[in-house]
Amino acid sequence: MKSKLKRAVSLVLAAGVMLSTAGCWDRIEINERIFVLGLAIDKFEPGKDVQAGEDGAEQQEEGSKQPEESPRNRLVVSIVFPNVGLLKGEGAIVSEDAKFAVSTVGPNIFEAVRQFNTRLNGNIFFGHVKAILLGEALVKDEELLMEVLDGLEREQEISRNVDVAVVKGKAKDALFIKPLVEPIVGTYIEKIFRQRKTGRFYPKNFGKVVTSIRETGGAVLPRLVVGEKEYNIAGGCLVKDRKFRAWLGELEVRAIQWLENMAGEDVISVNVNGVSVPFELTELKRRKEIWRDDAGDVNLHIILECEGNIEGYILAVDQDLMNEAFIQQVERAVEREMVAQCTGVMDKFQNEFQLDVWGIGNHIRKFRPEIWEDVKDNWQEAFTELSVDISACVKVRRVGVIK
Amino acid sequence: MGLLDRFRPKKQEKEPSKEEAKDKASSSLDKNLKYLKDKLKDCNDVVYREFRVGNRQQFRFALVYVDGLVDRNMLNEEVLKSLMLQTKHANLSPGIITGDVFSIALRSGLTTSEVKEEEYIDKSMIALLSGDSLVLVDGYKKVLVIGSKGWPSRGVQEPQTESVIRGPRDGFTETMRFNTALLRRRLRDPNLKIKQIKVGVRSKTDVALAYMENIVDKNVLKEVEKRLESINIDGVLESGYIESFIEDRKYSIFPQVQSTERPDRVAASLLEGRVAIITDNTPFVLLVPATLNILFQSSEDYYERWFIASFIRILRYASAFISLVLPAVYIAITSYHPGLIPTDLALYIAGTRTGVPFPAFIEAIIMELTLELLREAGIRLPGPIGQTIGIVGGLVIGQAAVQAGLVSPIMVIVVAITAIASFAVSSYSVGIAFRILRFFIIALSAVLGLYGLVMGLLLTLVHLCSLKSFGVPYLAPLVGNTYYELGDALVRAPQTVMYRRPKTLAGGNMIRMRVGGAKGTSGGGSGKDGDEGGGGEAKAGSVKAGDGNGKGKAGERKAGGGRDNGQKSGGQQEGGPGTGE
Amino acid sequence: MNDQEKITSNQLMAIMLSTIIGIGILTLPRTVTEAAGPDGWMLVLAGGVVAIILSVVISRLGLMFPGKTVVEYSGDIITKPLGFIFSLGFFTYYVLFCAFEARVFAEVTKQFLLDRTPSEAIIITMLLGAAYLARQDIATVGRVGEMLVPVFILPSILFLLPGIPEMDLTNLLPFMRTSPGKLLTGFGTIVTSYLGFEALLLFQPFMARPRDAAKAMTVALSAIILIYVLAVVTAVAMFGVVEIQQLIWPTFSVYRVIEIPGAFIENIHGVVMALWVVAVYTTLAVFFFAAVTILGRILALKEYSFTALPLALLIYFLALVPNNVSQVYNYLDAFSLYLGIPFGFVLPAVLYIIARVRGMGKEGGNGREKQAKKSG
Repeated sequence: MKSKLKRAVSLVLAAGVMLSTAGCWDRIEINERIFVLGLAIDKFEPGKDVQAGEDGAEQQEEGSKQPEESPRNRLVVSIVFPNVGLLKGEGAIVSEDAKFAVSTVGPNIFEAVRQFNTRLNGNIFFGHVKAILLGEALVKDEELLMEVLDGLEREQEISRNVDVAVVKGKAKDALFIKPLVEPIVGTYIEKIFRQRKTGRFYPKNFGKVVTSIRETGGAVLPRLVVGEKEYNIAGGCLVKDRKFRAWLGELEVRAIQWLENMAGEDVISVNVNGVSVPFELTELKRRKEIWRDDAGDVNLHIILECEGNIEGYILAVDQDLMNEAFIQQVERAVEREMVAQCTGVMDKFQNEFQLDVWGIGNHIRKFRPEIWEDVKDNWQEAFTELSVDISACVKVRRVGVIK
Repeated sequence: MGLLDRFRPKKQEKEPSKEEAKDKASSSLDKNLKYLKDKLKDCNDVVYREFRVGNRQQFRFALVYVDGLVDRNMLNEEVLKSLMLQTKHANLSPGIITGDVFSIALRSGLTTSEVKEEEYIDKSMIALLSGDSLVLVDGYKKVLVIGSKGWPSRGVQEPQTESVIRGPRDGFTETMRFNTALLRRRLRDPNLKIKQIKVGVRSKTDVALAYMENIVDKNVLKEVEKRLESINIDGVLESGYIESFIEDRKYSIFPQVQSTERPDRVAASLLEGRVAIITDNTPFVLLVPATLNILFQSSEDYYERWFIASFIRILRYASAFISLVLPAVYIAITSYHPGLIPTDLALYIAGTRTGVPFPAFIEAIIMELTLELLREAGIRLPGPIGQTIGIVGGLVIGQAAVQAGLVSPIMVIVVAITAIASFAVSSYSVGIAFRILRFFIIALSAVLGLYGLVMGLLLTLVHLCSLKSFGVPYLAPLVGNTYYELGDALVRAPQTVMYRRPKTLAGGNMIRMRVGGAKGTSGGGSGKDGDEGGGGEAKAGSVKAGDGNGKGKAGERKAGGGRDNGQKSGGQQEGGPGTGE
Repeated sequence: MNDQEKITSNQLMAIMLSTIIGIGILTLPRTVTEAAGPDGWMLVLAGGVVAIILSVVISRLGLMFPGKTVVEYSGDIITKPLGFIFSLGFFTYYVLFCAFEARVFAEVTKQFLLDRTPSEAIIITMLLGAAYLARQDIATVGRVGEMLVPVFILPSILFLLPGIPEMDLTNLLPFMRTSPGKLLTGFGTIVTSYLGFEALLLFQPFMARPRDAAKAMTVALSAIILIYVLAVVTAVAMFGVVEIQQLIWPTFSVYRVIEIPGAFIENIHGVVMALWVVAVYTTLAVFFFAAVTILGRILALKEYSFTALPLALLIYFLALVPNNVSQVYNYLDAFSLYLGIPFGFVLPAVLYIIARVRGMGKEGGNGREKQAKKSG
């Protein structure tokens, strides 16, 4: 038997050598990292990019005061990160700002990030990015948009669950404002996205956006409008054929979600007997039926099965919402309203945008492969010719605590 | 074995003890006394008392004993008094007595209970030095060895290291005889064997092997005896000496022998088929084979109700794991993978670490070492002061270090949890092993993050898997074909579920209780027993056959015998039921 | 070697489970989807069935020559020189397999865990760790397998639960619309994800009861089929057949999407990565062990654990040969095709057929049966 002692000693030595000479390649202490919570990407537009940045954060590259137009300057990348020292409570050496936002220009995200490394004292870390904001100009540039999306998807640090929004105007502006409630921009945006109390924007995370672009050729992204001290995330931005196609209204986006079997808890107001009755949608189920009629045309029937509550009516002595007839009246009204909105959106997508954003093609491929065999080669055209019939079935479940 | 093997043959060549053991006692009292006095020169604790016996004072006797090791009252009363006074009046003239005075003294003169004859004077000298008294008679070639051991000893007290909330309070003491008595009191079974040998060339320490004859695995017993006999050392001062000679792998960090102060624990282990090694002069009894699972158990587990015991066991395993990995996990996450934890937590940790001058690794090492230091300092100091050290160290230094910004508060929390968790490990030696391994894993995760942490755990596990204690895999019953024993591993199943002895440990007589019988006297009992044991192996079958005859003991014996040919190999087991039924 | 401690059939199962699940499972959903679209899981199923059949063949072969590994009995079946070449090839196969395992492991680890740590450091630590196990005896390997299999399989499956709302099982539709020709071509690449079962050629004589090998292999491979199908189904359900083909390691990407909000570990992909390290370690160590064993037996060494460290060095250099991740996978495909399929599937079957035709090992096999009957 060989000496195990010798072996043990050599092992310990090897471990020691490893530790002392080579080791710790990846070690970055947590306090040496800069936790990027929000990432905003804009197209670089010369002249328009004057940003009196906070904290002396003017975009500078190699000394020039204003970034010049050059083939290297294609993107403006801005990040926001919290002042973690403040969280400790006794940050004497740090300023009182809860967050810092900086911005720089570069040919792509990665070079821009390296640019930050020359300016910031920490190691930029994207593992906790909560929101990715894309500027309007960027989305309108087909080359840059796809480049950016690919780069973001390829980067392993950035989660696929990050929320994405298109900012009307400059995405950068969103990072530089001080929101009212929560000073840290990234988590603020994330919390708006996660509350699920409204259907007025389409909360698609990054992975779903990319998947949708790959599968259907386009995607609806939420639209973010920057205010003085807050944001408004509402409506949508339609990306098709690798670039911006159109802005979508809040109600349109909501209808799109209904058709995609997603329902934020939202309120639909309908006019019943001259009174505007708010109907709170709590549950929605969508069914799709596809068949080919005698003429050989493909038919799509979409049925929305909804449940919800009546939120309010009008204060009166003889009001009675606990009344089957009245409830049915409301139900029909809501149905009409929903079908109208959905049909409008469907028309728009079929005729104007010619984009199957719901993956109806996928649905046909999955459930009616024999029909798919015929239409798959020119699905875009087939989609526009699809005869779609939308119907809704609404059930009012509760009316609140008064009659 | 390794290094030690090389030295062993040389030592055996010397064999000093056996060479000397050839001096026979002479018939002359003076010669014998001279021999003793020569050998025991400058041993001022040896007392020689010469006296004469008989109505005419015609017989010369001598009493030799070591002062302090003997019960002097007993010597006075039972030896001196009975020999000197009571024989004075008897007519011991050569005409009256038949036989020699030696055997008369032996048969009727001495009123002590334990007397032996000894031919060799040097052997009797060893007895003398271990507390027996010698009575030498002029004209006879033998020495009377009187069992007169009696020295001031600690009484039976509550064991310090293994206290329980519910359970017996008695613990072993330094005197082996008391210890065997404590065992015998618990197991009044003729099958409890206590085999005594002497170990140590100079110390000649009494070492006893205790086992249940018909339960113990004979191979293990043989192996233990073999290893004990091969010990060649000058002195055995504690059972730890023996442990280091009989353990399987000397260069392993894990203890492969269990040591305990609790007689109830030893008794339970004997019933599982293990072997106890009781060493004189120490309250710590060794138990083999030992598995990691056994080392994680506490005797209290079996006294509490099984829900509680199971919960505590899971807690114990969890705490061992925590004490092993928590600082390493903290380092891996904060220094390498902050993306894994929730954002708020990451930001908070980052905030608390701002201004801390050291990397988390150094921070952890400093804190852990400080803690080990405190622990060591606390052990060496008397009780109240030790506690003060703990409070001063834990509270004051920790608080001050945080306020000074030298360490982050979260690190203090991590280290404190680790320390508490490591105290929850029931076996001290396993706890230490985990504490040392913790540094190894911390170092690995400081170099390679999560990957290093996992590699550290894997290497530890591979090492654990490669260990065996007296032929039993160290991780049994988690590994091997012994799944029914899992009822006594991570959890503690109700006693009625554990009606079989652990197959990994016991060698025979596998059924430890009759579940059906315990439920009542109704006829259904035995049927149920049969059901539950039906899937069992050869041994179970044969035991039941024996029990079925209604003779408890006979059945057990039979089972013990049947066990010998049904040893542990799988193939023979298959053949077992045939012979059993 | 006969006095060596034997392994139980449970331990063989554990060894097989931990060996076969390794680097392959990461890419499996992508490769099957590329090959067969939504019907990929059926390919996985079929590949598993073939592996089961082959492992039964191998266990029969082993029973013909009790107490011998393939290194010895291949010489008996196809003459000494040919048997020697076969054993050498088998050895090369395992060494290369180790090298690929180590390299892919390094690539993935660099991508997800340690992006600046040099591949060399990752590979060498992995190989040293594996060498430590390869130096032990087979019983230790069995025990390690037994301990680790539940450790890395159960949590991986449990962590899928929070992701269920994200999954859309209709992505597996349409059912059976892939053309048989396409399925057949895909089949060849899918079977190789079951490679590792052929280690039975070596391990069967170390079993306490070699007759149980076929049963144990069937159970183990069935479990692996389940796990593979689960991996494919969850990945396809999560990403759909289009997106999945863009992901290099879709099995990981599944866990990157799953979040456990409110837990101490929010992003479980790091934990799953750690579990996968365990899976790779067991695979690598068992292959390493196999390579050491074959080498020792070819050279007829009594004590051969000392070959582990030089072998580790060889594997280390082999692992560093490919230039980039795409080359790694190209080489790996070639390796599976030209070495994996022959040594895993074709040659064992050929050996079995030759042995049957030559009527070999009959006496031995029957004798053993009789023996078993006698004792039973």
